Amino acid sequence: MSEKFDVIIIGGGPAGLSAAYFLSKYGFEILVAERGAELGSKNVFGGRIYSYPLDKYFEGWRSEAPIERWVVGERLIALCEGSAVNIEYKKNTGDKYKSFTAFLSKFLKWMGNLVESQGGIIATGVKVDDVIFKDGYASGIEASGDRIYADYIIFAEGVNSILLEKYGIRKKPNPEGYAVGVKEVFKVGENVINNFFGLDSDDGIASYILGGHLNSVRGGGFLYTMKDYISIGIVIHLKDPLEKELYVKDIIEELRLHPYFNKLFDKATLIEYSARLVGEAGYKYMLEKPYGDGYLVIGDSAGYILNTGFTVRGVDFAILSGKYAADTIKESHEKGLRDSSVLRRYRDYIKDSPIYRNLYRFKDIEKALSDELLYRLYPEILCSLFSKIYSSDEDSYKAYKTLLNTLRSEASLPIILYKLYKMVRHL
Amino acid sequence: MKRFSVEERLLNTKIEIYEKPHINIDTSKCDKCPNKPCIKACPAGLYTLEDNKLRFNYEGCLECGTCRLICPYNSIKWDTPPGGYGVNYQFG
Repeated sequence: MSEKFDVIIIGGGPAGLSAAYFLSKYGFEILVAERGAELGSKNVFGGRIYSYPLDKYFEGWRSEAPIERWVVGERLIALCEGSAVNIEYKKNTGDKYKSFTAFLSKFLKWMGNLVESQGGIIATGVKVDDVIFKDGYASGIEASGDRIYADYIIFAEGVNSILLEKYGIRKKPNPEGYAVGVKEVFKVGENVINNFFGLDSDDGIASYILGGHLNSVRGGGFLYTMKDYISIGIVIHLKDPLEKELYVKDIIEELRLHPYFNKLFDKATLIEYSARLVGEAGYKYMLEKPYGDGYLVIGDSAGYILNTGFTVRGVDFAILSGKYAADTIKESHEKGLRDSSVLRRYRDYIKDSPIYRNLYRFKDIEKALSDELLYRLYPEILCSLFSKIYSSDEDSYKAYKTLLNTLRSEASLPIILYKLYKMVRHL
Repeated sequence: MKRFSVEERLLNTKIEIYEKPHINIDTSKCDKCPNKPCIKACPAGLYTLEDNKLRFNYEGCLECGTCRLICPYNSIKWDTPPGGYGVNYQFG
């Protein structure tokens, strides 16, 4: 291994490997330092990746990437005490390939192969202890006493940006803007999954779960169909467990053990339990200045993650920001420069991209997500409405009256309408 | 259907435990902390109370960083395990 590289990338997640791939392709000598024992060791996400950045920049990816299933249906599941409502949106057949389910751990190994096929070097099991700054320029890394130098450093540490905080590039985050995501993966079997969701071949489902029975936890659940596996989990505001008598570790099992899922998990085997932090403040937590003398910040480290209320997007933003970082370094290198005034170009790329556009569009999402009444009320409204209009009792009920009764028992109607109006405006 | 305790769940996650803890806690600060949010928030349930003293076991750590952010007294010195150690997700 040479002592000096053109670029060192700290972190082998989707952002870091994307940058590594494009830089290697442009002819740079790069090193990815990944602290995990293998690629993907430290990466967790819900289960869905959007196709558009891959379609745009990774020719032939569909036949090579470890895709579990294509998302052909979006399901909203509202769980109540003993009952449940599910609403499914079946996509137009032309939209079948717009997103897919995957395991990030496997997907990153595939990305790693791409990097290596372009001549990039990936060092796993290497934790970067320090970044070397020379004359104010990020110029190298130190890992277990070894010093390795580079013209450019890319920070791709992920949500826990310890190094960025150490050098004052990013402030320690405020828990108000974060949620904890917890995931369980079960081996369920292809046939059981297909029967339960009415699927065949490589078709899959993405689900958003509201748990009305979960004591107004501000957060939602998710469920993704893999080929043989189910990924199920929750994303909960960090402040919630404290205010309510709840333990994060228990909530996911409450959700999974709802009778609605009985047939799915009946003979399933648990194979992995995982957790991660999820940024929820979106636009507000985006790093103001994701560049500096000799360095760029990409992916989750820069705050490029979006919770839209129904789904969390991050991997597509990570891949895009890696590409923009590679392009910026290519242009800067051609000019023979590495100071912040040329690396500033990176922020322009971000501002012109779907990353900025989407984070800006959802800039008030935090407000919409923070009203706990709605997490409890929505599922209750759905369940009680359906239980009455599909009543098999002697009497039939009118939908409008049922809705009013449900609302009245929860809070005053004007307040609910006002809250609903506020929320819909932000969504 | 069976309910899994968090201990049972953690048995399914591949973790290469390092000999020394990567997270260190100044428990003298915790004595003064009335709510101890780490206990409820840790998804691995690694923070517990024993005779009113906060206990922490780093061995099942999922390296999520929740305790790092939620601690109101800054008593958690959070770091990741040395390279190659700690959690090794296969289905992340």
